[in-house]
Amino acid sequence: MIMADDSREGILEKVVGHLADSVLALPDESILAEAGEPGADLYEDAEHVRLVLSEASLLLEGVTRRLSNMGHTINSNYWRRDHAGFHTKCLNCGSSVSFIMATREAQGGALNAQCSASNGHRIPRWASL
Amino acid sequence: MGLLSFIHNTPPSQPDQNLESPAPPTRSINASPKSALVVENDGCLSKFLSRCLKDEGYAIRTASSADEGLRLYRDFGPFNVVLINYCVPQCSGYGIDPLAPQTKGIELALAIREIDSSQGIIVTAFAFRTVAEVPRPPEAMHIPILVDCSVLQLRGSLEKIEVDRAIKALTSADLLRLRQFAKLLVRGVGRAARGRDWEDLLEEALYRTLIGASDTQNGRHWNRKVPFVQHLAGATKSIASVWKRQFRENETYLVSELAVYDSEGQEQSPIDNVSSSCVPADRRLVEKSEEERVFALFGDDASASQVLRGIVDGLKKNDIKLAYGLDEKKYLAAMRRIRGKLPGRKRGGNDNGR
Repeated sequence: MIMADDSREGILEKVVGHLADSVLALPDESILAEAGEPGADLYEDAEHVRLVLSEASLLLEGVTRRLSNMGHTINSNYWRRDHAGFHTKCLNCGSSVSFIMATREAQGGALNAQCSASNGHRIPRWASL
Repeated sequence: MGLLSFIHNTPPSQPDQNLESPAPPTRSINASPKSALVVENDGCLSKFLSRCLKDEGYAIRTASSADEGLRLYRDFGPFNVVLINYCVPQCSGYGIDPLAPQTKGIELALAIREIDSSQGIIVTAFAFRTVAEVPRPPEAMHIPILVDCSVLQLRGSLEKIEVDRAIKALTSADLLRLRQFAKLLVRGVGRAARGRDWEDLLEEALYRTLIGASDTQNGRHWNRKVPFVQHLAGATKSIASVWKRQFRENETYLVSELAVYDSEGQEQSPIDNVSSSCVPADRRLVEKSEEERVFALFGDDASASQVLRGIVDGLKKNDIKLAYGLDEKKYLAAMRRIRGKLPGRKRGGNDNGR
């Protein structure tokens, strides 16, 4: 084996980067024409891409809902990212939760126990009427 | 400022004797790119939520009861988002029982979903500790509930609704463009993709859009001034670069990947003639091998080879056309042929054909 310390853009990367940018500039009819491989159902292909995006959104919503159901409060805009996935902590009790990219699963203490510091004295507003 | 402090600093609300009449929108709903309906019977909360939404660029209509909210929705809907207080009463004024729980928010949300099933709705239930404690029928379980009294939580919920709305609004051409874009990037990433494909790339772009940090170092929040396709393309490109960078830290090549063949088809190892201490030479060999593989695909296509040579040399579109005397039509045709051939070719297993 040989080790590569390549820190600059490779040939292939350069070429496909240029090609990718050209795709963004293509008119719709050209995109549809190029995507039309023999036997391909363009509508089905397009909807599959939408499904990929929608499912990712749903998956994340499920994690947030699980946390909310256990009383945890997270700031949905402030997850920390590393090579494994995304990590954050409950703003109330500090227990952690991670969303692992490779498995699309959430794990961590926050999912194993109810929030120990959630606001337990909040009174439903209609009771004060 | 948190919403909870608003609740605590506000005297127990009387049954809507002083409810403001629905405020006219501060600017034309039709002229605004984003619109919101706030159904909130607490005057302070209504003002606070309206202010938050205005800060996010929404034009607002407000209602103080479920009946009024439904009427406004029928007259002016759909909105980008409808914010409904779980405890909103059926109607305003003296007609309501001050001792009876007023919990018409969910019913209103379901009524609006009957009118438009894709309407983005957030139900605010600040009187509850957790979402699980908020009573609601099974058909309302998927409606987002906000129990945390903070502007940041509201922003997060709004972002989710806007992103979901943008996903639904993508055209077939947009979606296929994104797929092609992501496929090309994964092809460029090569072995650094580690088995991940274009779907993984798009998924990660969406995760980073929704849960990344607010700074550009860690997150890719969607600036609404940028079209969603362009935003996702930028995010996928950034993620592809991260994959490549992470891989480079421990990158190794098998000698067999660098095998070259002489004119008689005999395999030769290119590193036999290279000093092992000469790292730049090793790198050049890797690149040369890669370049030969790419150009070999277009050996019988002069225009495509010329365009490729121009790209490899770092030329822009117009420079390539000028350097090789290609007109627009020939250039675009060559690019189309290159796009058609390159993503499908693989050695190393990162494109599983999905």
